[in-house]
Amino acid sequence: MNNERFAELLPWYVNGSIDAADRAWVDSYLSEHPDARAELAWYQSLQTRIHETVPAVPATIGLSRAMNRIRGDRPSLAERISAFFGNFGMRPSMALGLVAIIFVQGGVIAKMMTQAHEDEVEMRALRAKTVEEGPLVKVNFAPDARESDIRLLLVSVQGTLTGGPGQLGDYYVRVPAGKEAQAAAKLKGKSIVQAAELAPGIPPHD
Amino acid sequence: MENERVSKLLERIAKQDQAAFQELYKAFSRKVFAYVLNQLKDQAKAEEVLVDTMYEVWRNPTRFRGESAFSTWLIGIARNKALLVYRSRRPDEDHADLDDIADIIPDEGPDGYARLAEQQRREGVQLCMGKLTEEHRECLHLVFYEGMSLAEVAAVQRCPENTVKTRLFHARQKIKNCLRLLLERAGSAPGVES
Repeated sequence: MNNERFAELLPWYVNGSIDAADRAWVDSYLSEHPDARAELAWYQSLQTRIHETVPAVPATIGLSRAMNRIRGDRPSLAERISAFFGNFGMRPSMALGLVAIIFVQGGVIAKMMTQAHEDEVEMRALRAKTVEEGPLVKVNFAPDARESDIRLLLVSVQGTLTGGPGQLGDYYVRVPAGKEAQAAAKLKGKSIVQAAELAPGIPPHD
Repeated sequence: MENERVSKLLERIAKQDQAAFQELYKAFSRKVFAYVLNQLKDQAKAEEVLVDTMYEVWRNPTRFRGESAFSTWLIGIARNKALLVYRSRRPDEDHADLDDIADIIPDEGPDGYARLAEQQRREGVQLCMGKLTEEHRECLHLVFYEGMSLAEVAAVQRCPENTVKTRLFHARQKIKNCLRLLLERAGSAPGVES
């Protein structure tokens, strides 16, 4: 009986998850039965070997794939609206009604305000405006980068598009002085950016 | 990582905080990878399941309610995903002969254990682990690699604690006998030193 209890408790004794009372019982059993120490040694050896069978991998294994996946998985508009209004304790139907009102009113206001700028639908088709001061970062965006994502990204680095696109798709972004390296690094880390590097100036034809 | 820290990260992840996700990912990736690799024995598939598992956390961070250790909960998710992959594979007969091996060698004297403890090697353990059934291999991994308690193993394997005890007993018998068999064939089989 004691032998059965010992056999049952031993794996948990070896892996350290046993409670104090059972641990004390196993210790006592081992002191009374020196032969049982061989079984303990075998389990300990087995535990070591099992650890050795797992290859050492970096903690970042698969991380870039996971990040690409979550970056490509922006919540739908409905999900974002639902989450936003959910924070105010509103029911979805109320939220949708409110959104509809805002949408209609917004549409009217926007039409009045933007009649003169109807051509500014796609930023990448436009020439950038000229900003004279500040260091430059040359950026190449991914072909499938969306205009809205580019805008958000520029805001996040306090950047202003001042040149491009060139024939090779180069854009030039002015960023605050002293923050150019940080901005370049941040831009480079985004999935919609293929390349970003500090630039001495805008080439004449860009 | 303590559950309290995990909860804070999950709160941030619920707000789409990618830095929090990366921290959580790096803290648990090795554990999940080791578990899945033990189940699937395929590094590429293990990495794929790891990414799937962590993506699930990104999508549904509020599902963890702190009723268990986070790693136990996470391995539960990984287990479901690994099972899908495992079941889609071509069935093999790797472990069929182990059912026969289980009762072949009755010697459990201290000398037998001492010899095994001294001479079994990583390759031998790996070979014999690979010949166990899915449940037995998983059980040994959760106990001796993850260091889980009886209750935690039962939670992951979704079975009563007595079932875990039975699985562990049989897994132990089979791997011990497999290793002993290798030892007897020393010189012609890898994994032991004569």
